[in-house]
Amino acid sequence: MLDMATKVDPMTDSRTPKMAAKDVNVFYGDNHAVKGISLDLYRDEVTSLIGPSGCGKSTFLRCLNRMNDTVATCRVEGNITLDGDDIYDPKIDVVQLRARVGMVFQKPNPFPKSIYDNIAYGPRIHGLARERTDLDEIVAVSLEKAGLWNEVKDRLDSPGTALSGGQQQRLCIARAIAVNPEVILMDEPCSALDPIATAKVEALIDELKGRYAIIIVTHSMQQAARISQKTAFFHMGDLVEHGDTTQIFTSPKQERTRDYITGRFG
Amino acid sequence: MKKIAIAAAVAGAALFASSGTLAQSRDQIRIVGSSTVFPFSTAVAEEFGRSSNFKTPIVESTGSGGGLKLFCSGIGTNHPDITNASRRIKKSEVELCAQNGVTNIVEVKIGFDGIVIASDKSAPDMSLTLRDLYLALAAKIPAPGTEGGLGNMIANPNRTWADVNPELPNRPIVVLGPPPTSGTRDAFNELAIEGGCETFSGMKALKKTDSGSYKALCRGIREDSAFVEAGENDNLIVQKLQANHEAVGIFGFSFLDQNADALKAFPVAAEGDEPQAPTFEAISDGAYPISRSLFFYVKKAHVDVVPGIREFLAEFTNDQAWGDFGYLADRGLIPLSEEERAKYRAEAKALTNLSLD
Amino acid sequence: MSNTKEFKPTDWGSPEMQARTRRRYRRDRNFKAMGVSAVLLAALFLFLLIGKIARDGAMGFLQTSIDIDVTFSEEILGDPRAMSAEAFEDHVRQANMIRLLDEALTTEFPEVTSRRDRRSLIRMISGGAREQLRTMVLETPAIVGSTRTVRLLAADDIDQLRKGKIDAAEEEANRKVKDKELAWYRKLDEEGRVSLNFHTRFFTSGDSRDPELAGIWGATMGSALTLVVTLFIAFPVGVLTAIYLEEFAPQNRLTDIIEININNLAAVPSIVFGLLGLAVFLGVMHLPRSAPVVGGLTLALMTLPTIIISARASIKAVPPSIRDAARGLGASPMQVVFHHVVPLAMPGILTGTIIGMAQALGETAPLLMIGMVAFIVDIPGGFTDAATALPVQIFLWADSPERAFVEKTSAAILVLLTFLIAMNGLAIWLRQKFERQW
Repeated sequence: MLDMATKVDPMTDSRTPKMAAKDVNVFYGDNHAVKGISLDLYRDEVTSLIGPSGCGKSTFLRCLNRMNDTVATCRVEGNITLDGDDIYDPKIDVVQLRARVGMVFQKPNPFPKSIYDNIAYGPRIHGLARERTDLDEIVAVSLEKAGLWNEVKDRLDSPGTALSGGQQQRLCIARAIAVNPEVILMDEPCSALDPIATAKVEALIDELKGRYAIIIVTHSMQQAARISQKTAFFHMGDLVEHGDTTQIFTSPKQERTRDYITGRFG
Repeated sequence: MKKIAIAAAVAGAALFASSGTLAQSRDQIRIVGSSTVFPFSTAVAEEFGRSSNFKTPIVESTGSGGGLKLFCSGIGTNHPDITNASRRIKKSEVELCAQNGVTNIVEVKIGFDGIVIASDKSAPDMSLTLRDLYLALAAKIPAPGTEGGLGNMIANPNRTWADVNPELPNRPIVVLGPPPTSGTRDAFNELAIEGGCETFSGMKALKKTDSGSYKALCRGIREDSAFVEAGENDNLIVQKLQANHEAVGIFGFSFLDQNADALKAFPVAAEGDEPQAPTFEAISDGAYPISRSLFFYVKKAHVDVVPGIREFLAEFTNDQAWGDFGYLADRGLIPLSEEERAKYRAEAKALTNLSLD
Repeated sequence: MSNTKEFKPTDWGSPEMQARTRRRYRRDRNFKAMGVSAVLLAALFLFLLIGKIARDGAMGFLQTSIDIDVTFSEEILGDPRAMSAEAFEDHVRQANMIRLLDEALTTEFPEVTSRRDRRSLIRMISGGAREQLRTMVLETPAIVGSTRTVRLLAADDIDQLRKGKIDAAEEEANRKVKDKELAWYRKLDEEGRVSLNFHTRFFTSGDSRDPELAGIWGATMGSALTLVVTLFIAFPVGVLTAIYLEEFAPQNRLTDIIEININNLAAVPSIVFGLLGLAVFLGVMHLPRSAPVVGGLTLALMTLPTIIISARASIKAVPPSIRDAARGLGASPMQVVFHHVVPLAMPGILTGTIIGMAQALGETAPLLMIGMVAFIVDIPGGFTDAATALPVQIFLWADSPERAFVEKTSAAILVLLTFLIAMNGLAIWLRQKFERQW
């Protein structure tokens, strides 16, 4: 069995954040979308980012793997670190960063290739498998971890796009896992899925938190309450409050947080 | 994908590198020039290619002027070897040639071509003089009662053939002719329009005093609907004449020959002469007034560099080709007299230099 | 908060409403009718055009032949047994085949004696007959001394007569075929010697001044060679340019200028590219005139904007979610483009390329300036041999006086149209085949 353990110092206290954001500001042209966010994100747990539409949570999430680089008008200021290293340092290789910090998108987007090739693509381009047998193993393990193996093991050559919505999203999660990331970012991964598929994906996220730091942006407070250990509440580009999920949902410190949780505004 | 790009780049580089050497060798004769001589030049070229081991010469139809320009741009394998012309080379062109190193030119006259004035068979007959043609088609004509000259010209008001000459039918003037880029148009202007213009004493006098204005007035064709430029394609003129029985067309004799079952040509009379129908004999002995000589010119410098030129000249000047019963006569070329043929055959063989006198 | 003012319930069944509904239905019907009539009108024009060309050109694929009994006399051809193979070949090449024909024809028509008449008789047979007889003798030297019935191509006037294009009832003075020739023809026809056959030579031979010997193979080869060069240059350059402009180019002034210029170039009249070709490829680079290399380069310049624009549109159409997915996995920009975007954009790119090629196939004006509008008989063997192109051949034949060229022109147009339809059909098929994989 291929060892998928990441190169983490076994002596590290899980209290040291995997990723840390300090005073992050993001501008789209003149629009100040994210205002002075400072947030620590830990491994082995799920952090959810909640808040009404347009409050900057997705924008912040995309800063963590520098996906905002592709937007021409976007400007990021502040400091974001991964294991203590500044990810915006010019010496950092963005390609490697994105292998270490994976991403799952709102709408499932499998490649128009076979299921096998979908999973195998990442390991291939990063040189993670020396031979075909290694690749086969990575594909099998990723699909198992994503809880999809039993459903597709007989049709690995059929196109990824032929699966149902829920299966496609789990395929995308398997694809992200296959490159052996340390952090997984998820941008509203269940919003395009039906309740049954959503339940399956949530169960999957719960299992995965044991190996990865997972940050999930979600519209559903119930979902955040169900699956995350830490919650951060965003409003109009500000980070209003963050802390343990139970604390945020039972005794929020800020008035705005309380108003949002009680459904005063959405 | 990438491999294709690299291959393309390599091929491109190789092309650039070899482009120098490609220019050096050429084993095919290159001929340019007049579209009127084109059918005859190509017939000889094909016969030559068929019956000898040389490659068939390549013939382009660029017009007499264009051909002479290309011909005179220099010596070398990327310049043409021979140019056809439906008129004699001008002094200015000889000078241009000399400037670019083309000094030894061999002139060969190959025959005559007639320009006919024709209509569909069902149109009424007309017998035209050059003066009639001038009065029908010129842009400006002498004011009534005068003999022309500067200050006595008016814009052409004639709308029917009867306006021009009461003996002609009362039909509107609709003439389909070649565009200004055509050698046929040049020849028509010079022979017919100018010929008719000169019958006015005032214009004749103008020739001596102000040749610039003379040329402009005596060779300018009207630009209203009476004269219609029907393009370079003579086949199109023939078709249009069959569609519009009032129209009259101006084109080369070979087209009349090929369409004699549908069209008829009008006899034309020069000043003081009898009207002449455009027949083989009338054109050959110069009786038909709108006829011109056809030539081609050869660069002596190319003769032993590009293979086959001597043999090509021999084929062209053979009676089998340009004689009275040769295959060029079949295509509508009006042959030279026996004496002229002998003269030009000898000159072509000896590669005698051109002398414009 | 409820408003005190209430909406009155709408009476959908009232006469006004019914009238409105009827008006709406009528408008819909009229619009549909207009659409259908537009399509029918276009189809009608197309049908008329193709119908006329097909009618004119159908005869162009057939050619009249006359069966003549030819005696391959030893006196004219020489005795192959008495000399070496090379000497015999030389002798045959020098031999006057016209004499063979003359003897054969005067045997058939013994009443023909005068030189003029005999010449007229010979002129009923195509000039290509000499070559045909020569080839027969060289292939089978044993034929010397025997008499065979040979099927020879008729001259173009006889061909037109057989096809009914020359009216025998016309007055002789106005006829291309004179009474004497008409009588001879009728005798041959009564003896069953005149036949109208499928003219394979049309497809295998190069240009000629004689309509019955002219073929499109030279022009087809020229077009093929030219298009190969065009494709080889325009496709990689065009696609890579499109990829660069869409994926990698920064959004600045320079990129804008490049884009504007490419769009403008697509609208430039094609003859301008010919002038460019003349000035640069012939004038500066001294490439051989009339060669497919030069034609291909010139047409490549002309086709580039088309390919770039359609490739860009295809690349733009690839959904950003695919790019995001690839990027999210840590694919480098090059990998995103070449592993994902280009393969997905390929059907559109190919369609645009094939359409560009079809356009290039039909172009004449740029080829005019670089010398490909010329009388070229030999079939081009390579990229540097002089060649002409199909549309050019059509143009040259349309300008020829011989009546028989009219049908040849139409026949050549049919061939060109077939190629164009095939290419466009290929484009459509490719697009459909690949689109299913989305």
